[in-house]
Amino acid sequence: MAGISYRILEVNLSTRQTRVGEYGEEVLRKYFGGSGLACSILLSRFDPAVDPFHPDSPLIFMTGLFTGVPVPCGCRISICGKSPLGHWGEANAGGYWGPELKFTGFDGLVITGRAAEPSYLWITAEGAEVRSAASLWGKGTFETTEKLLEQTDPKAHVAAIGPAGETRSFMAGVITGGAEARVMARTGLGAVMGAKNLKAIVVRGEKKPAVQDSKILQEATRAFLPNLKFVEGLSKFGTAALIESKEAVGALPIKNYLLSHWDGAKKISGPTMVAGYLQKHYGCFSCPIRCGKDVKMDEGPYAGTEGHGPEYETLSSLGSLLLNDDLKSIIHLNYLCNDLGLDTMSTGIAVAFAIESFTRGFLKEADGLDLKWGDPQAIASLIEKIAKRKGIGALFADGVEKAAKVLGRETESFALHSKGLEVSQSNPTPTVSLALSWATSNRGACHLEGFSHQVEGGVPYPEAGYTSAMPGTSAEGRGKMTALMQNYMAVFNALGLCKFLFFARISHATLGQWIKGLTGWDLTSEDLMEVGDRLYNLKRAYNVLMGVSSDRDTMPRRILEILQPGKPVREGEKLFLDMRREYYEFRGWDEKGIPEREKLLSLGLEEAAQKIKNRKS
Amino acid sequence: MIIHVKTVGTLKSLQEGTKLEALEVPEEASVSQVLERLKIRDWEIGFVLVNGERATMKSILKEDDSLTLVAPLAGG
Repeated sequence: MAGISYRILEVNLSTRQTRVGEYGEEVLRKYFGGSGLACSILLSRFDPAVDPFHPDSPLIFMTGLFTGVPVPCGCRISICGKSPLGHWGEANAGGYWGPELKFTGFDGLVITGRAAEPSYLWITAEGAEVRSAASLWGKGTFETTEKLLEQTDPKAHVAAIGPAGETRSFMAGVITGGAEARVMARTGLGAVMGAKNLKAIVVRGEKKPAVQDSKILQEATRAFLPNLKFVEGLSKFGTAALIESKEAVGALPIKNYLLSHWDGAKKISGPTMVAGYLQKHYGCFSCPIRCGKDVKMDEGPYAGTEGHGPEYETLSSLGSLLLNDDLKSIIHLNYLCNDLGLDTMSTGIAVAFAIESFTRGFLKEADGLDLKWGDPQAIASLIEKIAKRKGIGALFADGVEKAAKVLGRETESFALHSKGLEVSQSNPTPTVSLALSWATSNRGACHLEGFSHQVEGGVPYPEAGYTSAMPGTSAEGRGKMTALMQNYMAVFNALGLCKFLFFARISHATLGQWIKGLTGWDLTSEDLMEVGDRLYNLKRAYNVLMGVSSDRDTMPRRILEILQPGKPVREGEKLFLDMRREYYEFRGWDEKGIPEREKLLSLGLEEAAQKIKNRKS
Repeated sequence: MIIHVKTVGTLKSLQEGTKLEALEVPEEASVSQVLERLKIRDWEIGFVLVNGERATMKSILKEDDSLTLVAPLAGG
């Protein structure tokens, strides 16, 4: 079959041995690739009890079915493994690294062991070579990327960790593209890479995936292209376009989610950034949307800062969340985090938590830093300390859940995370299902796993019966909708397609035609959604094996408070629990959130069902 | 009757941040009638606020209402 090579390259860094693992079409039909395929490998071959920093704990990079295929947005790569947070870990990025990996003739990488010295992997069609990166240890991701392109091939692509990955911060990501960063940010998998003494992976290949029937693919693509009108805002201003809209409806996180409106929004908005600093629009591989905004600052305190401009999430996490309305500083802080190899979303939440702890007296001393809202210098200093695990930075380097355990129970109410992963940037007051989506996301408090708040806010999903916004805050229907959206987003992930296609209102029919054109398979809308359901339950099963249950599908008190603003917190808690109850029932999980055996068997997840049964007995 | 209209975000049909201090519309006009009048297509709108409160396309407006039209929050 076309589009995929069915080969996964396995590298043991301890022994420096490599082998090529092969898999069959039935596996691909079942999981489509991406993080679903990675999870099936993790679940069947590796012991979930092993510490994520142990050499035996694997790090898996996996392309999706369409990664590297010239359909709109076929660019995504997933990195997966056991997260330092203690459960399923997954991060994803666009850019060019994933397609380039596919072009080597390998669909994915499974990396185990620990290199004897800091190393990088050089991967081509010939296989993998372990090379020394001793001179690069301690360097930022931008310099590392430049040096490795000099040492290998200027046309290659680099995925690197920065100091944060080396010091094993639980907020460390893996940065691709150097200063034009596309980041596999979430769940601290950069720290797992650091624990393997693996500074970077450089890929270069020229094997373009073959297509079964390019006419079908092209015709379906041509028919879809007019839909790009739905995402013109993203093309012009990137996700930064959202800042003012979110502020207007009370969805912009402000001052660690304490406030719902803020005068500073316009100063940090997409149009302001584009008018002042845009250098060029950036598109990932085969992307017609081009939501990336490369920026440059020629003068002022940050002169010389040049690269990927901050996305909406970062403008919020290092801007409004911290009451920082200095756009130049946010551009620089984003640049700093990318170079240090930090997840900007988690980092912003950790900094907000530090500032609130300090200003309220829970944190008495901060290495002399005067931590206060809206102070870019103090924020930058704290971020450097976090990445290098220095002084007070060590307290926050592993995220807010760990820090709150040190600072005391009272701080847990404003340590904003679920399953240890810091919340993404959206106040759930106007779209309350987001809190449920955060709490039940397999990797922790992530919006991308569900995007339920988008449907609640009016982005249509007609195949599931959602054609207009869901007003009000009744729990009814929101549990089901959240589960359906999580399943659908899992399909995008496995296909290696950017989820922004959902905003361009791509249909199941178009996805079906693309799949048919690429592989020859005839899949119905129901088939697609069954794969999504399977992928979601597979990752849940993996989490259950690591002790996750309803006890971890939770939200901190501050989020429960703002679900029903102006009312006692028990009202918000009731809404949350009502949504969660409906969600568990719809999913076929028991009241503790454990998938019923029949549910797993109906999805062909016999191995997962057996492992859960063995765990119980 | 007179209403006040403000747009937020990147609506395709109107300039960023358009503010119509006074727009004359028929008595008991609905939000969708106002959109039609302004030649804004419904897919350009995510949230609708009337006097700062969440409303729908079917909401009926009254004299001196403030109507805020917000582009879909697609992207984050």
